[in-house]
Amino acid sequence: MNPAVEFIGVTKRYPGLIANDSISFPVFPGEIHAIVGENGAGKSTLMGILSGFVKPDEGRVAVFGHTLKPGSPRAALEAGIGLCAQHFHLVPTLTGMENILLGARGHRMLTPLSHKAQDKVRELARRYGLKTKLEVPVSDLSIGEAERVEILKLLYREAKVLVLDEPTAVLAPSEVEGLFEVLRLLRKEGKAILFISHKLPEVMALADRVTVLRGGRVQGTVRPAEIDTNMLVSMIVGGEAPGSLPWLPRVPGEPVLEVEKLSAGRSASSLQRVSFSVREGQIVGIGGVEGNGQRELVQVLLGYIKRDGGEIRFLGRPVHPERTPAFRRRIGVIPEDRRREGLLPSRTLVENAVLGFHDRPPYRKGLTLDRGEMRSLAARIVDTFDVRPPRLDLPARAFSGGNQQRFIAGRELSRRPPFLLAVHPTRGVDLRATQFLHGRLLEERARGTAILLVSADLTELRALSDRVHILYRGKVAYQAAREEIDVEALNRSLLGLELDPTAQAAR
Amino acid sequence: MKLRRRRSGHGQDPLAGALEGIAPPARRPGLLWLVLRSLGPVFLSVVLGLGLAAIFARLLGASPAVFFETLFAGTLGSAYGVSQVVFRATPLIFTGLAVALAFQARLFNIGAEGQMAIGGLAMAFVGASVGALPFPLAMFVALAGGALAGGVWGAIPGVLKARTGSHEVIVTIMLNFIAFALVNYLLSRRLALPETVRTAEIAASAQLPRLSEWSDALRGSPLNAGFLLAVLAAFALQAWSARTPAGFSLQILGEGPMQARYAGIPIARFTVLAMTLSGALAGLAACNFVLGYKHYFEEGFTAGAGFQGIAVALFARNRPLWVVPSALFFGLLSYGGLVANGIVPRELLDVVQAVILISFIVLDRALRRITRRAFEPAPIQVTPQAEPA
Amino acid sequence: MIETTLAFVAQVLRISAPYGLAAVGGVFSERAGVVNIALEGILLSGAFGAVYGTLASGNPWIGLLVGVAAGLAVAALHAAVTIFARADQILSGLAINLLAFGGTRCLLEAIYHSASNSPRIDALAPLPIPFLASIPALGDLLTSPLFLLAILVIVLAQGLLFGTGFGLALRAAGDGPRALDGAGLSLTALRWSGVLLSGFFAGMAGVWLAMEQHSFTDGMSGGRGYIALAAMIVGKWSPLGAALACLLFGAAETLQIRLPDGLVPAQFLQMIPYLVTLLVLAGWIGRATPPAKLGEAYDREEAE
Repeated sequence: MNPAVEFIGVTKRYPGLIANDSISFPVFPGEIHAIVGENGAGKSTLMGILSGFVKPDEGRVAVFGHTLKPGSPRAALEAGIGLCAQHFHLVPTLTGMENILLGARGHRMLTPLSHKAQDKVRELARRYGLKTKLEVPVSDLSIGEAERVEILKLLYREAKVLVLDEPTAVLAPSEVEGLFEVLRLLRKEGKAILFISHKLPEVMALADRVTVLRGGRVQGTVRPAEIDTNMLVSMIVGGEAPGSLPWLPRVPGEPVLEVEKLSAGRSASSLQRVSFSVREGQIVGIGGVEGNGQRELVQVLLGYIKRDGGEIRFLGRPVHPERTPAFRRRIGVIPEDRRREGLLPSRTLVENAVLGFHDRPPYRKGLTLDRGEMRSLAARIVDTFDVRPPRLDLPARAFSGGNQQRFIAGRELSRRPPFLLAVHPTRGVDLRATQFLHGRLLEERARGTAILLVSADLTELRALSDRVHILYRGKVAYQAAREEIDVEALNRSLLGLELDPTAQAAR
Repeated sequence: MKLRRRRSGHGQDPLAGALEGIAPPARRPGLLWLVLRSLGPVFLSVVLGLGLAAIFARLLGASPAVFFETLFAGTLGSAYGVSQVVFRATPLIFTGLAVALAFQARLFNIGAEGQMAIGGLAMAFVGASVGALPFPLAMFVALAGGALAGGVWGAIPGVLKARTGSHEVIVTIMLNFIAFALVNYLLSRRLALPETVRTAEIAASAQLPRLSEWSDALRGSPLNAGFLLAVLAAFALQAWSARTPAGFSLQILGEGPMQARYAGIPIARFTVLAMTLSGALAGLAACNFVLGYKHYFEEGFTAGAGFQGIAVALFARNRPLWVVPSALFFGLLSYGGLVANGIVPRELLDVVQAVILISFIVLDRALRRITRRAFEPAPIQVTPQAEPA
Repeated sequence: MIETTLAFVAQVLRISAPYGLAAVGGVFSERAGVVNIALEGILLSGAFGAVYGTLASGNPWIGLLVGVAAGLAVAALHAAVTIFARADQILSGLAINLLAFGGTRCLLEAIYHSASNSPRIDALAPLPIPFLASIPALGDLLTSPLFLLAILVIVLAQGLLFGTGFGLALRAAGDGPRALDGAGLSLTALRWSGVLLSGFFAGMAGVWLAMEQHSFTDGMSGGRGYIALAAMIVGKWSPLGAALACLLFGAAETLQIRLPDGLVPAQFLQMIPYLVTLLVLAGWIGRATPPAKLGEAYDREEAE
């Protein structure tokens, strides 16, 4: 059978990053083909190329045998490709019906929308069981209803290839099943469906074949029926046993950060009564597939969002990060987004060295900043964390991701905080820097710093943590001390299959 | 600079763990490029503007050569000419600083004109009331009055933005009109001298001395110590921005709300601070006229200085010290128009200024895009978070 | 009594008309996603064009055409700078206003050799409609072709924006450009249309001013372009809403002219449009939500 879509050597480069590296694989009509991989693995870029929003640097996409004209959403539409994007391509102030008909048949410039076309849309909704409100502005719809509008849009345009980017990320479980029914129906009709997802249980349940992307490359294409879940997980995150890091057992000290029945967040991934503690000289790892509450945890600890319940205690005393900066000022934070949070991209390393504490001595001397001190701090960081090139006068954005991350880590640790929050610290970072950072984190641990490590990288978590907690849908699905980790159970919890945290008693 | 390339291939080390598709490091812009990027739009747009002026001159029947000669001779060819240029540049330095300061925090202050008017009225009122005080105390008190009034007028859009998120562009434009109406009211009902449209003359001790007191070559020129004050303000603002913690906080805010949040900077407080200081500077701009030249307030004295301050700040790339030469340039255009009035209508220089401004923003944006595409990494792969309010 | 009321109404309508036309123009531009501070400059250019066209051809109808064309031309410049060159929309608007002020002054000097006014022009001849012409006070207005045209286009504007496919696409351009792009429509074409429409309407507003005054004077736009922006905000970015807001502002202005001095200071009445706008912006009277992506240049490749 001839493929509906074939990626042939598709490559997309940005300065400093290869988003897609020579990607080649086919997708056939009548199949549901899942694309999985962590954030940054290149999935969205690839879908962008398929739907015409991104132009590839090399390679091409063939749709039903014909080469797709690159960089044109219109050409992709005409070739039969329908994209249901992760952040819906819907105009919030227009109704569902208006969104569906925008630019399609029945939308004419000088008259109102054609009644015949509107009837056809309603007929389609009936036929596929896509219940939603069509006469209401999209901004008033629930996410599930809005998504059904998006899908109706694709169907009305007679898409032969449907591309769904994280369609279940924010759906309730009941809605997910409804969506799957529709997809199975569409599959039976011979459509080719590309389904991008983080959520492995769904992928395993729905897809005919799965292509794994990692680091911009295809790791392989497998059939869920034929593959072991552990193997799938390891293809995605590389969850092998840790290698040669100098991890030494240590008796942890007093609790530094305690989180008790913490709830926060307003979406499907909100935290739900999560409890754990991080002690002196201990690394606690928070893992799980992204979108299961990790971000909410970080945001509530930093005071960006409100707590809906539970307590946070620092050095024994309750703190309220959303109200006062006291807690934030005493800890070190390696943020998730180094370019937009952790650094001032257009400023030099000297100024970046004091981001977050420039108004405190010794960097502040009376009324002015002590640039000399700032400079020597920056020099120290560059030296001890091996930042290259070792030039203090370059703007931060001129450094590679690995060096930026080294600098940020160096800065945060330079203040010797009792607690460090490290969020995806080695994402998008080269191997050497990753190993260096891991080594430094362990050194800090040996010094007695309490570290909370939030990471989607299972290898990293297992290599560094004293205790590992896996989050699934905002709850702790699995937790274990390092030496007691049951890999089988851990992997299952990642997939949402093991939901009983009391199976492992907390130490 | 050579870009290292990893040989692509499958079967990577499964123990690696970290993401591997890490590519050539970003290229770094060289010094030449940085200079070009910074000053290129400035020079090119000026060349374009002056070129246009030459064309218009020809169309109007004049010789471009004569036009330029008159222009430059009249402005820079004599001490009096230079002093006039500097005189006109003085309020522009203040308003340029005001706009630049706001821009540093990513705020558009279009209200400098209104802030200047309010500041000027306050200055005149205070100046007329402090006769009992000696010079220079009286002068400083009058200046403070102007700064305070301008600051309050600038605080209003700041507070509205911090509290309600309303965009400062429209707010400041509206406040300009409100300021003019208010000033008109106060003038006509209370403060004007009978039979006139101006306020009472300020006390002698409150005046800014003319520089002609110190140099014969400047006799007859309105150039006054306001200029020195303006330059001082530029240095002060530079020092404040670069050297104080508060100034640095403002720059962090300007870099982005997410960085500001990460660094723990109270965004609302600094928004208000930036707009207040900006308003204060714009209020001070009135001193050139009110304290240094006519020694009273009359409507319309602002003569567009508030709006020109925007162009001045743009050309100075929001750097306080560069505001001075930028303001001098616009002062030159302003006086040059007067001087060349015999050859081409002086409004032509307004047109020239507009053309320069338009070319500048077009060139600047084009260069910014080229720089970004060439030197900066990909659109972020991380699922974006909501920006802090 | 009836006479004075009608006279009052007539004056309000006369004063509100240019605001209304310009504000409707602003609605089209901003709904498409382009901030248009240049309404003031477009208005002024339209006024000059009307005067120039009438004097050059001897026919006020040609003046109308030239005035509208001038408005379109200036708007096209704004569109080129903001859509094609993607430069900052606010700065472009301010620069264009400066250009219009200086340019019209220059042309005034060069063509009519005056620093402040042009020669007098005749306005458009009133239409011979028997019944309307005889209504006291309002008669002149209701038979004025320009007034009728203004009412017509404002009503058509409402229909265009909310009742046609074009209006739908235009609104999508301002609220959801990515969705529009994904639907295969041309965002560029739609944004250009929005801005050019603002040139059409604001240009016509300038023509009105010139015809009312029977000449062009330096700076005669007098800030009306900014009031139009305010009315657009208060009117929540709809043509009818903006027009109603303009009536409100026009009434305030008429009151200010007619009220005997001392009752309420004229200046405070003058401030009403601006104060009301501030209150609306701050959210204290109703909520004014601009088009979602107003002011942002659209980049297809940029991650959402």
